[in-house]
Amino acid sequence: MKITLTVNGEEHTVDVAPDTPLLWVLRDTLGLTGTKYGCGEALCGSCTVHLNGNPVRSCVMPVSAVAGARITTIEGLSPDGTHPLQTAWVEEDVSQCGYCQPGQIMSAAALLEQNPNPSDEDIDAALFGNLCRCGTHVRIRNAVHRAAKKGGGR
Amino acid sequence: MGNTKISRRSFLKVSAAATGGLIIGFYIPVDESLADTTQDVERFEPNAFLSISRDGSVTIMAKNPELGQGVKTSLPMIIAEELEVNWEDVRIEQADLDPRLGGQWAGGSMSVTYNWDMLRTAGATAREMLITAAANEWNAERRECYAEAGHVHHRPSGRSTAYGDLVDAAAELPVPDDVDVKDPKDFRIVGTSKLNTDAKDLVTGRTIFGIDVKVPGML
Repeated sequence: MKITLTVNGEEHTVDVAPDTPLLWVLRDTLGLTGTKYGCGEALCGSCTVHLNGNPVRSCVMPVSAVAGARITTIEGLSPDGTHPLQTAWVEEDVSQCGYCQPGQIMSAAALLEQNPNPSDEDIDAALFGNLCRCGTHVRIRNAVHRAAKKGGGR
Repeated sequence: MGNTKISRRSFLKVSAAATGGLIIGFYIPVDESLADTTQDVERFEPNAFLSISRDGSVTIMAKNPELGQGVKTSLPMIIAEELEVNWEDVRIEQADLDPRLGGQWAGGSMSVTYNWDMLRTAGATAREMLITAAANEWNAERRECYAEAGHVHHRPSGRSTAYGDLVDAAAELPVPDDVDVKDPKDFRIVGTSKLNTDAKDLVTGRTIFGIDVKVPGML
């Protein structure tokens, strides 16, 4: 079935089964592997992308449900890694293995759009569903604060 | 001593690549006949631990799997320390599977301990050859020369030469058997906190993890 959606500002028409999770359309059909698979059950957050600006878990989002929508992945957050969250993440040296970080950053980006100056509790609540086995949580929080100070809502 | 030189050559292989550079390779002892074939060296040395090209750029291979423990950054730091280059001038490349690199495993928090001596020796050997090349060019005594920040310096006259200008000459030299490693009190890189070399790629989704690898014919 042919479905058209806009990903990172570019329109794509894909021919996939309508119940294909958006995650696999992004990774396999469109080759955007920045969004990760961690559980397939919306429990870990590594598949987080923006649907019309809102964070969603793409692993349980059937692509038919996003026909005509605007999707943003980590690759589209900025053209060159200069989103305030991305630069803050580097300045705070957040990543260890890095597998969860695209999802963390996408969740954080949505948070800062809603709440440009979040408290620790706000950050914890917004990123609660993004798991990090390496345990980078303290630095994630620092980086979100750092990005907020830079006007991270963009 | 002749035997030592040949066996050393099979342990640490030096060559000038066709592009013009000094490559120090790590070998588990290989077929001796390969070690003596210096003409077509590029063919015999696809993965070395460090290379320096004529423009002075330094590439250091990261031999072990990186899984967030930081060895892609820390193991090259050990080499760079002994090599006497600025950390900012180092480009790190993840090594492919290569039996010449020895055991390419990570576990038990052993990467640094297990590779400490070998990587220091690799960096120090390259540094010594560069110093020798400069000393030869200047007709100077080895002890009057020292390496720092990607240059060899001649203490009495104050002159210096960049590594990039020494690679051809250094590649012609025999690989020294015994090199001194630095006194830890002189460490400028090891013992300092360096940024994860993959930091920027990880936050832009560019890093390739196992699940991201594509090979022809995969399902």
